[in-house]
Amino acid sequence: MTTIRAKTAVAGIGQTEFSKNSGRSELQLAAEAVRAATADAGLHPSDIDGLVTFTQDSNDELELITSVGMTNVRWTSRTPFGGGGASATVEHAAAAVTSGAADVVVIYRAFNERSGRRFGQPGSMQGRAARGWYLPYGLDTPAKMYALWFQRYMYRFGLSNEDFGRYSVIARKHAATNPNAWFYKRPITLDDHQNSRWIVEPILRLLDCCQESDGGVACVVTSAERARDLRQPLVLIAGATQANLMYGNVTFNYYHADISRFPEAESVAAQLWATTGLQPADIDVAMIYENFSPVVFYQLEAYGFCGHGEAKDFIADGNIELGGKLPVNTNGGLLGEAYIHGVNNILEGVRQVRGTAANQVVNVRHVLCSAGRSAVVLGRG
Amino acid sequence: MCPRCGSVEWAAQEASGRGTVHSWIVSHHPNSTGETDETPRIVALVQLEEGVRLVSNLRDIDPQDVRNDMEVEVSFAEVGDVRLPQFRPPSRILPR
Repeated sequence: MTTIRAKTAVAGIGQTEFSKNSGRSELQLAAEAVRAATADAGLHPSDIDGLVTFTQDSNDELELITSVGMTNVRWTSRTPFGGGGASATVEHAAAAVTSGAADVVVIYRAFNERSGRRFGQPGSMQGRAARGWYLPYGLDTPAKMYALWFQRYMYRFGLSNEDFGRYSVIARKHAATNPNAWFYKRPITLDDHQNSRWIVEPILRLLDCCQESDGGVACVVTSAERARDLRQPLVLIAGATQANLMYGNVTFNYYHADISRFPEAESVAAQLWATTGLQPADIDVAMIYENFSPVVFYQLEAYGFCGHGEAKDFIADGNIELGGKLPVNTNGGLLGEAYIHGVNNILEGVRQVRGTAANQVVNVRHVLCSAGRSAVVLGRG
Repeated sequence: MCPRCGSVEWAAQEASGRGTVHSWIVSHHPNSTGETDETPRIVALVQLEEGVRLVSNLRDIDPQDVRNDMEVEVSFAEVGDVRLPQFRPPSRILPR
């Protein structure tokens, strides 16, 4: 099998500030992030010849091309699944570079997801006929949709909401020492978590939910060969893939045989271990998409960092904290840093490999950036 | 479309109306109309006897009494301007 292994690299990263009210258009946020990432790589907008974003991104490619002055874009693509496809953007970009469709691809994701259209509000998910199976029953926000999946996991393995809270405390602890995080210097205790209001009883409290954020992020992907000559330390794309399974559903993932598992993440994991030759023990930092705290539990198990049903103890034993066996979401994740639809976690993965993260882990060789339905492994050059 | 044979033929099949609670939640979040439900609604993923999973609501039961895999049976109720299947603990022993 032909793979993209180590042929491409992330050569630049850029972002706006993360806020609750950016005060400017989503297009401006995207343009600022793309310019920052391009400059970080030591490139010029005219060097960019490919663009990747989410199908859900509101920023039109042509408007962004004009705003940034990208004179040579010849290839574009978009990834499905919302945040589940966050890491698929890197796969698209790497595939384009590997195939020769483009030489320098910029990935961008920018939105006013707090001051503009808030994902967490009822009604934000309406508009598709299939949702007639869900909306009339009151299943009308992402928190409720996902909680109906998580509850079976809690039942199967005897978890309480307090177990999820132990992840939230760690995410906020990491955010507290990351100046780039919205919750910088604002850690929480498990009591704070347990005293936060129920969003979906008995699964999710307020402090289990990711933030709603305004902001833009971007990163530049090019060939490993070209990246070696650019400004930044080499960050190789060691592997990248997606899982698209029959009977799967992004927000209503209720129809696989065993919903105490995450078959999409298991598929991504199996593919990545096979194509990279790596094992769970080779991963030094894991960036794990968490719209809600329980999805970290599912993914830790799917990748084999711990056994099925063991994430509760794996987390409680301190393994995912800075200094632990597998530091997770060292930027504070989407709960602590910001919710830029998961792409900000990829930027943190790049910083960890470069050695420039606020909460830098010592001697990082490989970082997993998992978005559940897609994932990428970044490695040192 | 049938993933095995590609057929688009379909037919209604009467189900027993019996199933079990595969998973469940209580919603405290404002509902689609922007208001909080008067009494918290229990949303359940019901595993029908025939093998299909269906999202619905549980009625005639308090949240603290709900258990995973408990048996429930269908009833129908007006919810807003639509008539929906709803589930509740079995009110009688149904013939198997």
